[in-house]
Amino acid sequence: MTLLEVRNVTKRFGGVVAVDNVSLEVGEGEIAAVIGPNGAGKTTLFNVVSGFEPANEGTIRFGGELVSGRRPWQIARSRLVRSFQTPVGFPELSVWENLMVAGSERESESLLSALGGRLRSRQKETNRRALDLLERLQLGDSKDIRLADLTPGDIKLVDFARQLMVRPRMMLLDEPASGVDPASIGRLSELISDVRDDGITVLVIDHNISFVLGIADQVHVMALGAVIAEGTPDEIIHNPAVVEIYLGKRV
Amino acid sequence: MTGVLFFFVGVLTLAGIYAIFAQVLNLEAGWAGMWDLGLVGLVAVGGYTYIILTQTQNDEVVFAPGLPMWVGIIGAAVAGGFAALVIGVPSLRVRGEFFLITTLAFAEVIHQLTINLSSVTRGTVGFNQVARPFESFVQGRGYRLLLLALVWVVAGLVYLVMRRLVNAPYGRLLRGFRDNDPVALSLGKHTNRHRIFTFVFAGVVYGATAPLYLWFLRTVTPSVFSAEVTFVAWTALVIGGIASKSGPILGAGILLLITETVSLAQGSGDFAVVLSSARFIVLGLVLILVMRYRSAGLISEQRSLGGASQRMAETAS
Repeated sequence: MTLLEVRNVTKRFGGVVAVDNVSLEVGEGEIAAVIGPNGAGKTTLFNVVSGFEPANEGTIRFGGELVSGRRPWQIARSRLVRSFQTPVGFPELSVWENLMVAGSERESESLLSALGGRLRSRQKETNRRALDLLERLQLGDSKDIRLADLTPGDIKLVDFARQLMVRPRMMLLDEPASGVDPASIGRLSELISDVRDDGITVLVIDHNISFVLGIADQVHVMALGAVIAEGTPDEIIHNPAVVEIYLGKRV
Repeated sequence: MTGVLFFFVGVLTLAGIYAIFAQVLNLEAGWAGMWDLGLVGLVAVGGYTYIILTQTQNDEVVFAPGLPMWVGIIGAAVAGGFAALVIGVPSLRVRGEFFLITTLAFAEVIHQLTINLSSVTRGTVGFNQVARPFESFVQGRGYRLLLLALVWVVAGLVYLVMRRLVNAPYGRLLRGFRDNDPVALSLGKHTNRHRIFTFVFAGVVYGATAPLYLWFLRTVTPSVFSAEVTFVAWTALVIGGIASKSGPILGAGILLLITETVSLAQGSGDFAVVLSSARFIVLGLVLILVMRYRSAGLISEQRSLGGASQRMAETAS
């Protein structure tokens, strides 16, 4: 079953066509990847899907519902959440608070409920989920540390955990492996697979081809704003068009 | 001796008033990241609403209903909140710099209105009869002590409300999107709605507490709502520690004591001119010293709120 459907999406910045008539589908429970060289339009595609940039043309459906044209927070509330390339999160909040912000219910975080004070009951459950998640990511000891004081690798993990607190149906991961030391990449791959096993669909963008091919079920290759190849990792590494953009033309 | 004593009663009363303004500014700027450069405009809206509603001097103005003080205070709160809504909705839609410029311009517009709408505001002449509570029971110096206590009780109440807000999920969310709005949006938070609510709430508190400022001054003219009010509140906040809980109170106390004590020195007429400008020199000097040696202010956000997670985790579990 198709969860995310991007149909004929085009995004222009002045004369530059950053995303050029892109169509792609991601099935529910799948790990899909978009790869391609710098400037291929991968991040712009994410920005369009998550509502941060309006598309000039085309439609996006999530779970059968039309989401193109909605605001970023509306799209996130339909449980399609994204990460950012630079995972700074909420730097002045502690690791635990970063998760609590993400997991808090809408009603409990309004000004009126803060003044009126019916807060505790709902927060209890969120608090337990946050602590469990931190334990699972081996960040339990860092929970009271200010996010800005963590190592870049740990900030990435918190970023991942923060997204999970929203209980997403689908996660868009923008370069999760960049800045992560090679030794931790295996752990990251495991985490992403675990999340999929919990029923969350994942769409990942990355430069690191071996990392992406290692986890993805379906790979979409972009170059100059357009999708030039699609298939399983195995099909992709044998695709002449892909080999050409990554390795150059054989002479 | 008692003269000096009562001079300090006045200084501490004014410090208490600025402690209130700086705390509300801290909610807006320190926690929600909205840099309000026109808070005096909201104070002026509240102050003029109060004085007009409670006014009995009807010789030169078209409107002097002489309503009770509590109606004036409620009216001031409503007017402050409404003014914040009117400027907040359009300016918070766009980027942060627009809010800064809009609030600055708003304060200037209000200032000009208070001068030019003289049939309602009595222009630059202003009002010199301010209805004050409990005046029939206590007079003279006793009243100055009463006002001191009243101002600090209100400052304390504002502190309790602010502490409650910052420890709630609401405060945590504000401090989050202050530093990273896109991430908050990507988590499904309607950040603009929170900003507008916060600004309107700030307007209500500025409006409701503006009468304290008038009770202290006992006169209302456009000049008492000059940009200086905004900058003293900002300086107090920055010195005390932006985004900390008690920083704005400490900052207001220290700043007002230092700058006002300068005017206690006595001398010739020429010297008095030097002294009045010395206040600003001292203010600048204090600011420079704090920025040089304690850039986060006397109480940092980290020190004030860094342990919040632990406390909340314990109470929640």
